[in-house]
Amino acid sequence: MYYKKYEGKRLRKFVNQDAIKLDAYFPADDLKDAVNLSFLLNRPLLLSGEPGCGKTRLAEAVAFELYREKYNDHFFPIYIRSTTKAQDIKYTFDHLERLRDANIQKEDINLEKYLRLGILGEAFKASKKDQPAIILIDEIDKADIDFPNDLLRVLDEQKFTIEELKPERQVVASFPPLVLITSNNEKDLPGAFLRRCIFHQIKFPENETLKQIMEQKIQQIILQKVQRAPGMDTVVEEVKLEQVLQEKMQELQERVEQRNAPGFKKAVINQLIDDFKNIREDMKNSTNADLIPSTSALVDWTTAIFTLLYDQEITFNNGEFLRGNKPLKKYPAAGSLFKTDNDYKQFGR
Amino acid sequence: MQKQTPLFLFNFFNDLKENTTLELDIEQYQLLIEVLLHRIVQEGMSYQRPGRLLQLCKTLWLSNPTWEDYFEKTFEKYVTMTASVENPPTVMKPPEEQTKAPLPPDSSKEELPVAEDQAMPMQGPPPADDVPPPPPNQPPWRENIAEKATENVYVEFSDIPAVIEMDEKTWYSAIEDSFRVERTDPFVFSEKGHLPFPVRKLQQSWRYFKYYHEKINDTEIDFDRTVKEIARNGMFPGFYYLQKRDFKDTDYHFLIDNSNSMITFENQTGQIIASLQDSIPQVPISKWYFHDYPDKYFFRDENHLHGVPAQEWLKKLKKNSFVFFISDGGAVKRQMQTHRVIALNKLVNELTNITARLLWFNPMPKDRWEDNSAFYISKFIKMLPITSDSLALLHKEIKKL
Repeated sequence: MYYKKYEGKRLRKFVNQDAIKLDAYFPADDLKDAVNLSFLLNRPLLLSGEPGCGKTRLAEAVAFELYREKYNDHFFPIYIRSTTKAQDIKYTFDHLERLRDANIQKEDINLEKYLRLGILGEAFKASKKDQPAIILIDEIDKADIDFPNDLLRVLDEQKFTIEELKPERQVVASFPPLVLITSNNEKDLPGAFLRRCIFHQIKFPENETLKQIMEQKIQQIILQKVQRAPGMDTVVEEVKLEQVLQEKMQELQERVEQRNAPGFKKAVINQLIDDFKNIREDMKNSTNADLIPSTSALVDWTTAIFTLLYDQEITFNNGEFLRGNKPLKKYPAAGSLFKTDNDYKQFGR
Repeated sequence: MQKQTPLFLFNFFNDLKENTTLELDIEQYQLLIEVLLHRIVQEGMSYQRPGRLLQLCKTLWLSNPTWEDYFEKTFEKYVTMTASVENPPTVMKPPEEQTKAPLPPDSSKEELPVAEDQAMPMQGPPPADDVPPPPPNQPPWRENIAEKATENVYVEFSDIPAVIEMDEKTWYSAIEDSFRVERTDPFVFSEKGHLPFPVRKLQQSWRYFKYYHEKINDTEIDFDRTVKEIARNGMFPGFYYLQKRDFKDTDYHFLIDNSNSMITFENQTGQIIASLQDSIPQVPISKWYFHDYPDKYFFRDENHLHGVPAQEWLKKLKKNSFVFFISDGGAVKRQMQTHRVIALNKLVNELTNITARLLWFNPMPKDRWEDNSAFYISKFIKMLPITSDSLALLHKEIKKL
């Protein structure tokens, strides 16, 4: 039995090309294994976990892993709204236009022209031998309770029938696509649907993974700052641009290093992780916390703090953040960490 | 009658089914078996670490994370309970080796011994109480399969004897053995090439094939010749008829395994086919490639880019067609691959409905088939080793075809 394998290797560095901008993604071993099981068993993988833990991004990362720059041709995200119907994502048939045309002209009409395949229909069509489509059904629990039930057979058989066409036509996935479904557990999903899935709960990452995520984010910040620097838009040649970028990035790093303590980057990362974990722990133990920050909040916080550091608005010395010479009393840029005023006041130090 | 072995982790599964609201049906249990079969038997992965097995069970069964604590505790309870009662796992070896066989290198202290009650059936032989003792010189699993070999080989989950895990030393010795033939018989200035016997003798063997002759009807007009004669003579000399002639209505299909373990034998395979081509130039020879076993497609090229669906390929065959497999059948890595055996058995059954002219060339010597899939495969298709002393056998077999 041949099946694709996801190793989580290709997106360990962020991608910053003209058309593609992707953050790095570091899947845990058990998550990679769950994706591979989904490929092997040909069953949808239902992902759960805290908001911001990377459920949605996994699908994109798998698509990039398999298809690199062409991943958009094989990646079919379906973002669910409360009004989304299973029929909409399969296909739509413009009955109104069909009726109008039937009144005007008497000869045979090509019914295909009223048919629009939905994202699922397009995905099935695109899923070819050895090139499985990657389908993301994001936040399935937002949809009406009938939605998963309506999708049951379609996902099971990987085909559906367009009844409006004469003769009826079937849209069939010629190669099983990988279906990743995310849920925030806002609603219970029907048992019959769950029996057709396999499951994975994304856990909070280990320290090492957090460090890797943050380091990639910092590299991205530096690159963006250098790219936006005056004069950069005049460098046209690609090779030269790459060289100039490297030089400027080095320059910026050295300049910021001089203002802060030596090796400040690692120290800040370690401190942020420690503080972040303490905050999460405090909030978990508290009965009055509104929203416990997750990995994406840490990434936002890192972005905010390192932007301030590289803009030279704050510095980091002796384990403290300073604005000018004055130590900051509250966590800097804590707005990106705490989502409510209540949380900020209670846990912002 | 053989006492039935309890299914692997079935008590744990039942506990979850009865005491939680998790959506569990027998289908979910089957998923576990499917994954274990695929990953352990086919991919050689190990699930000896309880943590890994727990994670697999969670992925397959834990639809609601609120049950995670109960899930983990129950898993631990069942695994620990059985581990404390049962014997530690052993790696299946032929009986003479089994007594002195050490545990595989990865069965470290941290790995919980998995017991027979709950252990994967491939972890060791069935307990002595349950199964009558095998004859002294025959491993118990071989006896079972030998009985079944006359019919279709049907391998139940509990029948799978063991995953033969090769340690580094065994692996290297396997590689070394496969090269030894060439080292002891240097072929630089000989006509042997990569084969352990002279090519000329192999070509002679091919000529022992029986051919079926068909005669062309002599009442058929030879239009080409008639037209040419009119052009040459400027008048119609009368019709010319096709001459009687015989042709050999036979074709040869080589099914070549080009998986990693066969890389060593790539040249040898090429030489076998070339020798047939040289000795009988007028017959069509086609080559088809596969990895381990032909699945849904038969591939024309080594990179598996141009495939022909299996059913279509079978339609190409005639009752006079010869089909030759060239594969180690798992003998190089000494792997027991149940899927491979089952799939090949099905294919051979299909083939025998069309032609009886089947042969399997195994580049590994016969004693290397003992503990792996090659042994089982040799029960339903004539398998010949490609060794220096196997040429006489080949003569004999070819005459029979």
